[in-house]
Amino acid sequence: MPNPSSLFPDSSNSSEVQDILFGRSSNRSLGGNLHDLSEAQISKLIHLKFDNNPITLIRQLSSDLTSKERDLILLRKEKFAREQLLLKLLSEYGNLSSLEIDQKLNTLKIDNNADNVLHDLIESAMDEHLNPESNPSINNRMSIKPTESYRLRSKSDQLRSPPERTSQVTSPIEVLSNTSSNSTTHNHSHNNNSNNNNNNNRSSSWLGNWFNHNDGSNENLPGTQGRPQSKSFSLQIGPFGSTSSLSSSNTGNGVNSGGGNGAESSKVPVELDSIKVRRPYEDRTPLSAGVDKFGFFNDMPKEAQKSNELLSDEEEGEEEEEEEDDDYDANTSGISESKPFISTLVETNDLEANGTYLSTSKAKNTVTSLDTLKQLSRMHDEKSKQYEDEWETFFKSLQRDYYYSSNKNKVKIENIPEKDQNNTFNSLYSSANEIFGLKGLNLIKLEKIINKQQPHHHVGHVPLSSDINSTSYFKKLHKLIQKMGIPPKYRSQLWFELSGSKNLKVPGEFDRLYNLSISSVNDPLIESNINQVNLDLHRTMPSNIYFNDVVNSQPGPNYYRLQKILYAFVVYKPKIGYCQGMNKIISNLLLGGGATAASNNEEDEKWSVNLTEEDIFWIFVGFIDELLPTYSKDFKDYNFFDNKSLLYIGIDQKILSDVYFPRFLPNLRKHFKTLNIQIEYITLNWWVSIFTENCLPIEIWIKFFDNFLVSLNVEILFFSISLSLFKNFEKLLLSISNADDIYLIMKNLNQNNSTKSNLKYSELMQLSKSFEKKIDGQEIESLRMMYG
Amino acid sequence: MSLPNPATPVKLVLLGEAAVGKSSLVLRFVSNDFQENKEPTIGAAFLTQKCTIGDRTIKYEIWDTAGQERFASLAPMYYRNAQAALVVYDITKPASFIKARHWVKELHEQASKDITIALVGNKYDLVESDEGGEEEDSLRKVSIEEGKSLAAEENLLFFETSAKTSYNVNDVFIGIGSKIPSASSTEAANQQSHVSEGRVDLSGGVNNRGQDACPC
Ligand SMILES: Nc1nc2c(ncn2[C@@H]2O[C@H](COP(=O)(O)OP(=O)(O)OP(=O)(O)O)[C@@H](O)[C@H]2O)c(=O)[nH]1
Ligand SMILES: [Mg+2]
Repeated sequence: MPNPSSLFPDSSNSSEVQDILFGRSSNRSLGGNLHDLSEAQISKLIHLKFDNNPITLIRQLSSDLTSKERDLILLRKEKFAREQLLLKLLSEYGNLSSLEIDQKLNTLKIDNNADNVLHDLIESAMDEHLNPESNPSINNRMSIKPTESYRLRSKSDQLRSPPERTSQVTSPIEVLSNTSSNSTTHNHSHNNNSNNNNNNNRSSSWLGNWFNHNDGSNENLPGTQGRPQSKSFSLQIGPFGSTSSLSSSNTGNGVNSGGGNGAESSKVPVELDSIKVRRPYEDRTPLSAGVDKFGFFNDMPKEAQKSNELLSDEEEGEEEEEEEDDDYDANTSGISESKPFISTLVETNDLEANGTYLSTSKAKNTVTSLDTLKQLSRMHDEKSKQYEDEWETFFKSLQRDYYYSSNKNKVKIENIPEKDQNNTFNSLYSSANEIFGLKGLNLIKLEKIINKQQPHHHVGHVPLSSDINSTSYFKKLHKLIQKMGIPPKYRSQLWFELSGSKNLKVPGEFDRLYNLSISSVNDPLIESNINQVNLDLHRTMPSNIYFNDVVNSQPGPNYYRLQKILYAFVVYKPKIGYCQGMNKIISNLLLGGGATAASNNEEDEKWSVNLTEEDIFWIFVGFIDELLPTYSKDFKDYNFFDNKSLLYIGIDQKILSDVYFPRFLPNLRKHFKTLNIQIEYITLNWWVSIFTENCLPIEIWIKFFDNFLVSLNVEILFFSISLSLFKNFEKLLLSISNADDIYLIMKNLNQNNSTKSNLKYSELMQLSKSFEKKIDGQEIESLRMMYG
Repeated sequence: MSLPNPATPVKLVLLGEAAVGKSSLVLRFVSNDFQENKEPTIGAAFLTQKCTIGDRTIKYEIWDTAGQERFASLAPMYYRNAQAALVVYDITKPASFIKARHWVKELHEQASKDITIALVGNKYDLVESDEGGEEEDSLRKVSIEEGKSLAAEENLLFFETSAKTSYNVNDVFIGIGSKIPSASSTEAANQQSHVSEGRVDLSGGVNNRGQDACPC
């Protein structure tokens, strides 16, 4: 093996497998993104490194591939063996039954979410303290796009590697891992720092530990001390790793890594920040381990455990992954076991960290979690890229039409200033005040204008023909949102517009209302509402750290935001007043809209407006006022949350259970009928709380909320979501012949892990769409007359 | 756990003003747990718990309703053909006692004739320390006599409880269980069993746990 140290001087002792994965063993091993090079560059590469013989290159590529494959196989095999041993140990020494272990592992599942892992990697990376005079190339090194990192490659890279080498920088994560192992030699004093950090066991970076387990010989690496065995690695997956050894990654580049854990003071490289998963308030409230990305403590509520237990006996649908492992086991027996930990990490994170689309992981337990993660990460990679692109294309064509419609003298498309082309969404906003409007209706207006101006004009891939409905911008937007919800970076802006709050919002009004509410109002109606709000404030999301800061045993920041919003609301709409369920909705909006999430960089700020509690208030008002279904009786319209509406919501449940349920889910209905189950007992809660209460997990709810904003008929959507939830669990429900158990399951959907992990946005949406098509709004109207 | 005695299902509904501690009582009974910040109930929650009284095993099917006034109109849906009801008030909140009166009245008028009702004054722990002393600054706003007399008038069981300390909580459910006429429960059981023949008892584990938790 020729001279590995030329690139990474101190990475001695590393196994061949690692080297191939990292491309540091031989000058010949190639990186994964050759395809990103221009043809000329590839030719040059062949010329320089392969004696002008492409076959050698192909050989090399193929052999690299094979090595990777083999490496993966080894990994699987190793993990499987490790898991078996752990299971054995646990049952021998811990006296735990495999069922108990399984349950424990199941609770771990939440953390095996590709997003979270990704998130943590990025988070850890961002927690570093960068020295102001640090080499600017750091940013370049962390750039997301492979091509860019090629173009902007850092000086230090150039110094240490032949030019072609930089093409191997494929993802920020890989860059990190490279630099991490690379820099360990550069700064030993830093290691001491990190070890100090690691005294706090929980805050030590599991990521760092992964890195460091790759090479047992590096005893003085941060993170290895105090950990007797590398075997514990898979159990250290926690949602909140913070800095430790990762901070060493930059020491080799003249960056002072400080060793602090605080996220507050860190300066964040631009690219990394823009890809970071938004986590509300992260800069304000110190988060402890055991909190998920929305700030919920991971322990599940006690009541839910019962039904959880019940479920874990019944669910056997997800065992395939384990079988797969057995196959690998068989295939690879006899191959020696090496420990390429580092490769695990790289494989896991060989993805672009620019989306938060994937919300759930199927990982059944730790045996499979890593494999699954890898699969997921790949899927995630492709999907998020694809969806990003679709949104981008959409904004681009929208932008073009705005240029057309707003410039009567027809500015040519090519004349759009370059700077705007880079940030379509952003520039759209500088070009028009309200692009989408309430429910996206402005899009329809735009289409009309354009059609008038240019009857036969076709724009981009969204041609506007006379047949406006089939291809309209509105439909396109609707479709995009249905697919995956609104991408987080556009969400706050879109929420704000689509809910109509942009029009509703009166500057200063929110504060005025709030002040009114706390000054002694002599209105008994308002007073009684405030009292009811007060009863619920401390009872709202008590298991979320932003609402209930148990660490300091005081209310969290969202407690006060919720209070302000609800107080203002009952003054704003005393007739509607406070209705239990509103607290849940607002809380979800606060968590999902990332109100006041501090953004560390300008770019990000421009991209997404951070919603304050005032914004959330107006979004909530818009939602209540404009979007939720209303009920009319005797020529009067009742707001969904009006006292009177409860009766009509009840009637809708009757329609659901008597008409649509039997029509669309006849088998389940038959089953329920034998068990004497009435679904109203289940669905009423869903409706009254807009699917928040023990129903949709927040990450899915937020995407459905996205959909409410552009839904042409929210009532139909309510019906179809309800049906989808039953359909989603149809098989399970059919297998249960005890009414109580069915109630327990369906009334605790987001409370127990088994059902929660079986709720997937895209699947639900798919089901919902199919039901939506079959439900007719006019029929609902006449049914209401009948049942009313 | 003795005989393969089939549990008698008893549908029980909880009624009472918001935040008096209905869900907390149920949580105490079902999981022997207490949460300082129990989330408000929306619509109604459903839980089950088994309880053995003498030679009879009762399986409570508990419907814990929302206390907020505006949900009151939904209550009939839940107390309809319930065999038992807990009407809960907070002994530190006089308004909640008035509301309890209303519920008792409504139950007598609307619910099934042989429904067993228990009147429950909750949050006893808040007044425990100043019991017996002069009541100047006691938190207690509803005296035990008031509760007792309402119960006597309306033929109700009566308890003061604390979901927090678990004081008297199980007694409520035992009391109800022993008062439930076996006739009506057998009737209900028959009703149940004819619709659920051949049902697989998946709740085995749950029930065992339940029996541990319920010291009856
Ligand atoms: N000190 C004390 N507090 C209690 C007791 N029971 C309940 N609480 C508290 O009172 C509040 C309301 O309790 P819940 O059980 O949610 O009341 P609820 O009647 O179910 O309320 P709704 O669901 O809104 O109808 C919570 O903060 C409980 O912690 C008790 O026995 N003693
Ligand atoms: Mg309750």
